[in-house]
Amino acid sequence: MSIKINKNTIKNWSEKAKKIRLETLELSYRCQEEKAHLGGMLSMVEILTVLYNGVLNIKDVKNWAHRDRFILSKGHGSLAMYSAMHHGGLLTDEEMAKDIRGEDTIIYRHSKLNQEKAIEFSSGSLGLGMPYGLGLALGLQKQKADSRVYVMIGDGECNEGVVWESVLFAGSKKVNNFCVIVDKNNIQLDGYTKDVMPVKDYGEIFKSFGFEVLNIDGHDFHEIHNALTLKSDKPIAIIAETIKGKGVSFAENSVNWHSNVLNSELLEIGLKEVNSL
Amino acid sequence: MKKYSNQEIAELSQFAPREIISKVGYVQAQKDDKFIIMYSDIGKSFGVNKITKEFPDKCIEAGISEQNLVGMAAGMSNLGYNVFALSYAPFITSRVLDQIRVYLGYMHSNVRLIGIGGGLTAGDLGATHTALEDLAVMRTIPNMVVVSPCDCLEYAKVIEAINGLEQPVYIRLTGGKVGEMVYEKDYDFQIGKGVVLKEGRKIAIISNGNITKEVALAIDKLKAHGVFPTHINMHTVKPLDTALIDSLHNMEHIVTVEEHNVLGGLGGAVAEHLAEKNCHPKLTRIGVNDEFFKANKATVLREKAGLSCDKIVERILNLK
Repeated sequence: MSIKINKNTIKNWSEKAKKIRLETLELSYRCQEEKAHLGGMLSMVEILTVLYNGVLNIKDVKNWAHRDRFILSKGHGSLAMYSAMHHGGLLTDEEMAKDIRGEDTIIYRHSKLNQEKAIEFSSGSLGLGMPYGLGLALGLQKQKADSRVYVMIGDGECNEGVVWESVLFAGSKKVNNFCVIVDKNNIQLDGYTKDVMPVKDYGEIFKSFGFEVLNIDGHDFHEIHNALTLKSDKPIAIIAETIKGKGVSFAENSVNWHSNVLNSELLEIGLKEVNSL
Repeated sequence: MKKYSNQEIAELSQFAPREIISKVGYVQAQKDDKFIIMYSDIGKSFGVNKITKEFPDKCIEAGISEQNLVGMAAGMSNLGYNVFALSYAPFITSRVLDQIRVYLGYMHSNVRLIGIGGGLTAGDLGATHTALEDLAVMRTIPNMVVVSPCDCLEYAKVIEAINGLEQPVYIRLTGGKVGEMVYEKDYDFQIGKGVVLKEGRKIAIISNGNITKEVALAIDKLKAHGVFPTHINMHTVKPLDTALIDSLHNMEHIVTVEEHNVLGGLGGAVAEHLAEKNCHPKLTRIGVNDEFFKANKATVLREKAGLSCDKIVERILNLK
């Protein structure tokens, strides 16, 4: 799906992004028992906004089987994905009001596959979104579908070996309906990625495996949209430079906010800051 | 289910177990639009050349990357493809256990995993290539069907029986040689229903996989000693045919024989079931006693594990 971008589009996306951030904070506040992965949720809000409001073709029910697929492999950010799906018209107010655990809900902290709701993957075990998404991409190609598969992974997640098995396959076999987005927010659980597992240049690595690579500012709507809609005869890797915890001062670029408990006081501060963006 | 003539069975006996998927798969590839066969640089061992030549679109070479293989298989399966993923037994089970747990278990991707070299078959290649824990780990994945056919006929029947089955399946292949057949005539096969190969008394031997042939030979030898055990081919380890086990309640002794660690496989499954009964026949599990062997021929390793015909005879005669 390709749309023309004008001032109104950007304004609309900015408003959506704000709402997604606010809802992500509210959802994170529900996670008092186990820390919420707030930082990595907020870093991908702009990308999710554009995906669900101008890129992913998943609203045409008649072509449902041939819809585009979005796999959030860094599934600890699922709450932000639901918020984006909510504001993209895919999840209802009622569904969002349900609990984040238990039998009677679909918005688990790590997504659980629900194809009818376009929740495409059961996440939680890092790296696993890549081969699964690649399998979907191959299957859709065999069905002659004009669909694409987008897999979002974290830069910390790139430590997982299976990521590179998939990258090798996709690159060497030119699976050109497969697009990887690396949310490069530079922090993982144990610290800064530069300390845990420093990597000089992800773009160069993907390129050497046969990918078309785009390095973008992961908070710039124009750059995001251009990258997500680029067509190539190769698979695409979008290395999105982002800010972990983007939009909330205490969480921005903070290792402590890879995952943490958002108490009521911090929630208020967060909501206020996002509202004033 | 297809009925096999004696001639067709004789033809099947000309194949090594690992080649059967190509024979049966070729037929399936001809009629099934959704048939996909995937392998990790091991297609040649499975003899897939005929399929790759005629149906290149239905074959995917994943290279040596089982984790990616199983993930891609899962993605395609959830789009409605009938996907067979092939590798060595340890590499298509234990190596990718997290993938199996998440994709095939949690996400209900109904992939068919086929592992060659189950048990001690590939013992010459060392402990990395023997799968002695695969049944145990696969049994614990919810919804997984776990089958260990005893010969090429049974294997062909398994592939036919799982057609359309909306569950993931692991097929464990044991025995590397051509012509090691248990069945000479056609028989009724159903997933989850054990087969009584021989009716006997006092002792019931339950086996599966290629070792079933050794057990059958052992039972022949036991005649001379006045011992006439019942023999059951429990090809499906999960779901286990508990009704058939329950029907053995009047036996004095149940003996499981498997080319697997005695922990967690066929013997483990039978033990778990029996242990919940108020009273049951005494149980003896014959298999590999929780150890790794140094590389050697499968026949030598079977001897070491007490799984050769003579060792089985000896063990049965010394049951207490």
